[in-house]
Amino acid sequence: MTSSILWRSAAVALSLASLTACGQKTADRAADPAAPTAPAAAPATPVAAASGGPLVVYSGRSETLIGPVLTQFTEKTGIKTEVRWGDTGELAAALLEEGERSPAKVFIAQDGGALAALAAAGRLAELPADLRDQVEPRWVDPAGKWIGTSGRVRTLVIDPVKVPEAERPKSLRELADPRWRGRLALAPSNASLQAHFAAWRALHGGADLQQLLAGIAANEPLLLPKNPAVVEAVLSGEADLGLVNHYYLGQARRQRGGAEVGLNHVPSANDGSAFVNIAGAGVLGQDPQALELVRFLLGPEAQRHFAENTFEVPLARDAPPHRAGLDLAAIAPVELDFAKVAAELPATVQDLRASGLLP
Amino acid sequence: MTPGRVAPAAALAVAAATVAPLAWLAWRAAEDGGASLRAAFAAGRTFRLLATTAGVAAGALLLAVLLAAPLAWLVARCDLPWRRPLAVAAALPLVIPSYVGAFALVAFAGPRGALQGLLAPLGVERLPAFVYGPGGAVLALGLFSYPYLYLPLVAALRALDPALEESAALLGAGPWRRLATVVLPQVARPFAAGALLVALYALADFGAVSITRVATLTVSIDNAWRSLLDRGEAASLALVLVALALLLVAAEALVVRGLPRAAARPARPAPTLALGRWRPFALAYVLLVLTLALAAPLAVVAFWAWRGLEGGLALDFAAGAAGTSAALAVAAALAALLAAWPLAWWSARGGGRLARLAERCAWLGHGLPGMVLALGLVFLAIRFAYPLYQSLALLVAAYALRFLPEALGPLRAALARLPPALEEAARSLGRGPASVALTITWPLARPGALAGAGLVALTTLKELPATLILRPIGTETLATRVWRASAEGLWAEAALPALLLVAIATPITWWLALRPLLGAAAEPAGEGPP
Repeated sequence: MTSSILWRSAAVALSLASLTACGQKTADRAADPAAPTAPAAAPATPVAAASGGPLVVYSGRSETLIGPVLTQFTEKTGIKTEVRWGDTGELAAALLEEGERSPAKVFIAQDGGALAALAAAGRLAELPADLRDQVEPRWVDPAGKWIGTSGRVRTLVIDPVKVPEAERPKSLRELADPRWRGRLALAPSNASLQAHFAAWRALHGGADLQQLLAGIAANEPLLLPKNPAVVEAVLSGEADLGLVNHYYLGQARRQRGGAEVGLNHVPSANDGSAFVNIAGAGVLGQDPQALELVRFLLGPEAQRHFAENTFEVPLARDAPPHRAGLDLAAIAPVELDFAKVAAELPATVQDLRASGLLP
Repeated sequence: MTPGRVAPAAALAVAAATVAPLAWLAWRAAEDGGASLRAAFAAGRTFRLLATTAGVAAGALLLAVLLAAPLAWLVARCDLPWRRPLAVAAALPLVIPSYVGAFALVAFAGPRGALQGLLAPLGVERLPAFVYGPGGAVLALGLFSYPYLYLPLVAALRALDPALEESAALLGAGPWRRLATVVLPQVARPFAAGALLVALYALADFGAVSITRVATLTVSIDNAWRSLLDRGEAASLALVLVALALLLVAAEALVVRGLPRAAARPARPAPTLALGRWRPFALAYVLLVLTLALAAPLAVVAFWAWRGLEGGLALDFAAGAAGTSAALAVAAALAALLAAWPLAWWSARGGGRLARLAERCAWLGHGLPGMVLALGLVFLAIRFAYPLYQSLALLVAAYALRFLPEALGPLRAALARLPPALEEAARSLGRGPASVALTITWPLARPGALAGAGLVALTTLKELPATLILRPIGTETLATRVWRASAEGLWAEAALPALLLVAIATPITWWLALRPLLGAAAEPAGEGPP
């Protein structure tokens, strides 16, 4: 008996040792790509040498989407990063609980609402003016606490056969029409959807939004947990149209070996039916390396990555043309500060709940 | 043996650690002067959520009992063919993350799922959407949480004293009467503990209910927290959930109080019941359950993997993540066992009201959604244990706290079955308390204790919310790999780590939980394939 206890504890001790070894290995590997290039990238900015230790980044954007950009950043500046990958909302909640002692220096979010909430809680530091000038003011927090780095267009993903051209909605308002009964899918807990309806609220007021939501709810839409599930529902025939961000269709097509399934349809009405949400960043504390990273996210390499690889809309003024296949000028004709959208979020969530769309 | 001073002090420390996140929750909820707390407890919406949550948990528990009890009986006491591999397989549904399991259910039985595809030639264009709604949630939760009942039941059934049943038989009691009057009362305590685990798991689950589209308290808490708009409201709703968990924990305590304590571990194993002509039917039942709870979700996952490979996806074996997952699972199991020991022992050895209260506190964490517990630990650790923050040690501690009841229940039942006289005799012969614990108590309580530790290991393997928030930067587990891929809709890339989860769980289940029960004991005659 005793010997088996001893054996067991030895096994555990061994596995713990191998665990620490694993952790060590990953850390080394993360540092590796930078090591050979650091000397080559000679003019590593003066700040690079300023403080020791890697720059801790909390990223609510996924590693596939933004990992390559961070690698480029390290290669170019010699600043090493340590990234905590997670869900935007969860990381923001963790940042709020961590308070002043948080190890995070930069927060990269895929939703402006989370950045606005952190700014409101006083957790984000003001960004320098020259940085803020790199994008149009409407994608920047008026208090300068966060900045948009790329845009994602809200679209209706449709089944082009079941929804022929003449029937495609020209405005979000039409989604309350009884002809869509049982045909629409949406993910009401999704931050981009909430931001979209918050924008609608900012433009048309609370009563109008409540009426629209009541109409949508009366059509008994398919309520799903996430955007990819909405796209899947349309592609599998469970729904005829779904309200999502534009790039999910690209991902679903890639999963199907590039098959041209489904269609992104942007309502043409000039009433806020078309809406662009942002992914962006903010810094915590006063670390020059953190600002360096935000600057890099708005620089040519990162903006080209957003334009060409993630199918997003780059937001820097001098950004290359994007490949979303959508005309941004036509898509977001309504001038709307994102800060106003963020301010409408709490009331919008209450309206979504009251309509029964959100539990 | 009297409890002494070390065990109570350790027990109280563990209980304090489990209650600390609840205190943080109460503080968050009361931050605005109690307005959101009052609102949450008064709102009609909260009561609807509460009713749905309780209903789903009750349904899941009923299904889990129906699945686990016959399985445990067949595996522990009958000459079931291929008994040992089937016994291990029956515990594995516990490692299938609930969102993967629920997704597989929808993919199979959804309105346009695989089942509809099979029926399409018969003119079935759409199945009724029964998977969406409380029925689907009950199915998904029951199918993947029944091992919480199954493992402790197997442990209890294997440890029964055959002498009692034999005496009853000699006195003329038939098999059914023996089952009802001799066997069931003896396994009632582990049964109640397992049932509580299932119910608390169902209360705290997020994945299955969100995929089957049921509005429960956890879904609402998650929405409120994620949108960050009103932490007071999120915390208040979480407290409503805690109140519900508290009710269940108290109810279980009441039920258990009236039950007889089973006898000590017998000197010889219980005889194996010959199934005779029922053997094929028993096997068919076990295989049916395993098909639904294990083979079907694995088939769906394998299908994703296959589709991904066809699409040119490079295989990434995630070996590092697999090693990390396995080591964390074993470490968490041990930590939970160590933390549970003083609580269970103090309570079982006449610690009185305070001991029982401390032990009960430890159950509450199981009824909290993982994200809530993780945020509480973030708050506490960064203020009071900063050097530990985002260390592996804290992550293991978080697992141990969250899954403590899984180790505690079976351990408590095992210790309750040990007559204190054995320990007292050893002490009177001059052994010290540590020596008695190691040479008397541990060997006798071992099957129950390891069954509990096995549960902790299996649940830790799939744990996600606390892992995401508390892991050291750069640490990847299989669960985070599955999450990372599925969050982007990359089902194919999620498939391989999901399959690896099951592959790792298999040896852990055997070595930790089932081998002490089925392997070491003398095998009864008639064992083996038919």
